[in-house]
Amino acid sequence: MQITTFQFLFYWLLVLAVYYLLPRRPQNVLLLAASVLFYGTWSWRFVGVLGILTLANFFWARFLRKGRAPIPWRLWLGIGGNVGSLVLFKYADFFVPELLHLLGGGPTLEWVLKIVLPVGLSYRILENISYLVDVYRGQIPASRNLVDFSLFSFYALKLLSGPIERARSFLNRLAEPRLVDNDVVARSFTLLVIGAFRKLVIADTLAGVIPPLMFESPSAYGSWELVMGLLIYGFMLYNNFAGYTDMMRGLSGFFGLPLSSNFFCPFFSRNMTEIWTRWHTTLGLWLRDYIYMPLSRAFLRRNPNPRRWANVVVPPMAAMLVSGLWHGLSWNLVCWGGLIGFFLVISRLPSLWRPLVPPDRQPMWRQLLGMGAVAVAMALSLVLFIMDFNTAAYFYERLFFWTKWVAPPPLAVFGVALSLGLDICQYVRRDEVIFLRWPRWLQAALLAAALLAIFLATRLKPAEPFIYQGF
Amino acid sequence: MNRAEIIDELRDFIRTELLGEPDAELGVDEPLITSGRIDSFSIAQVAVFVETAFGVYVPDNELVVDNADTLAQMADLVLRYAADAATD
Repeated sequence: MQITTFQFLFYWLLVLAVYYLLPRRPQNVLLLAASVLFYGTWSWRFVGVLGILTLANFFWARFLRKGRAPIPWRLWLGIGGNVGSLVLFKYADFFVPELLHLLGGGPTLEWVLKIVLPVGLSYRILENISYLVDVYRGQIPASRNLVDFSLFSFYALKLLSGPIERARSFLNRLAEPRLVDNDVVARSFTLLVIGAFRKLVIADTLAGVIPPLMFESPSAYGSWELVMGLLIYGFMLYNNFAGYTDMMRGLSGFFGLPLSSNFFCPFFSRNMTEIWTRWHTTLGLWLRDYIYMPLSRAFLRRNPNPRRWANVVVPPMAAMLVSGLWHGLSWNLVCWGGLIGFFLVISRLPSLWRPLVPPDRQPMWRQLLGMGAVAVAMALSLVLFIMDFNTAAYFYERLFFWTKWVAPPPLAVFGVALSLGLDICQYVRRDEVIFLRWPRWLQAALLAAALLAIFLATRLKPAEPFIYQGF
Repeated sequence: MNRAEIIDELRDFIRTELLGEPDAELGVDEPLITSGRIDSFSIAQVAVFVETAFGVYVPDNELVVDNADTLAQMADLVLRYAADAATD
């Protein structure tokens, strides 16, 4: 069942109607059943895989703290099991052909090794690892409620592409009564409309104006066209993913289960650290808490000098390389992670010799310069994110063969302007649902315009896929 | 070790080592992370300082804006985890 269909909307409206008739405990059972059924429409094999992983993590977490003191090998085995299953499913395309070649092949072996990645598994693995680590550290008790833990695992509105939630907050929410008052309804509905607008109107419009073969055969395009294509892709990717997240957060809000924010005006980031608090925030926080910080602390304990090269270079590079590998096993994604890590290190260097000046206290010209520098850095790294290594190298080369200026397609200007306009409204008051503070007549007019645009966009062409479901 | 002593030691460390301004004004409720005065690189230094100065391990996922944005919040975290360690 695809998300941008009326089928999806009606399914969850039906679930919502039954949900409100039930007391809290059966509500969790209903949500679990609805989520499993929804996931089953993708593939029942996916349900089986995720079910096994859920049970394994549920019981392993209880085993982790059994005894007087936590035992490290139990944690490492739990992490290894999760990473191993990700490697098995996600990277099968990479190593199965190699393995078949080595083992001599054969139809039975090929069938056994032909594995499809269950949708959303990458996100679940990160949630499982953080759950095991938090239980091991004693920050949360191992869950004793299999229904709640299974719902944490299967909850359909965060399963396919995040947000990556933490068990400590999500399981607590499941144990509490649901509060859905007028404010929550207004906020959830606004997020739902903003998300649908970002995805169906902005992202899908932008996707339509990028030449289909631009990122496969860049030789057919001049440098300006490539620069514009890259920028349009950046805005498309942002609105595609942020739109999806906002829709899921909005829908989840109606169930009284708020989900974490994943994006907030990333194009207004003034340095490389700030962008990770604005773009795929839940992944950034996960990398910070479970890769960057432990490594950074380990290095600082060995040598507390913050200027030592290993302290400055290794933790951000390691975190970003893991990010690259999480997105996929290919050289271009490893290099993409490495390049982002390199930019993070570079942006850190000046603060080693002089105090940080908070972005808000910098003069406007410096803030704008910072935004421009971050945009250039992210655009350059995007090349490695979307193309294989050889094509990316050629793309970079083509960028420097200046050709004559070509005007961008009007639809691209329209889409980018809409995206920036929406961001400016949210950024100025640091409020993603700022529209709720506006006069009623303006809210009504905007809502009517947004719904009309969404309707027209879905009538004109079929919705594009959600890019981050591929991860 | 009481709350005021923890705040004083943290303030000295942050002013001297992180901000490079030993005489800077730094109120107990002044935001440090949200204001951009310290970033995630510096937070790791604070965490290791807390380990060495107070012998308390504060988990990484606690060192976020919601729990550790001000000196007062940081001191409360240190006290909470010191108490947890004592009861274990």
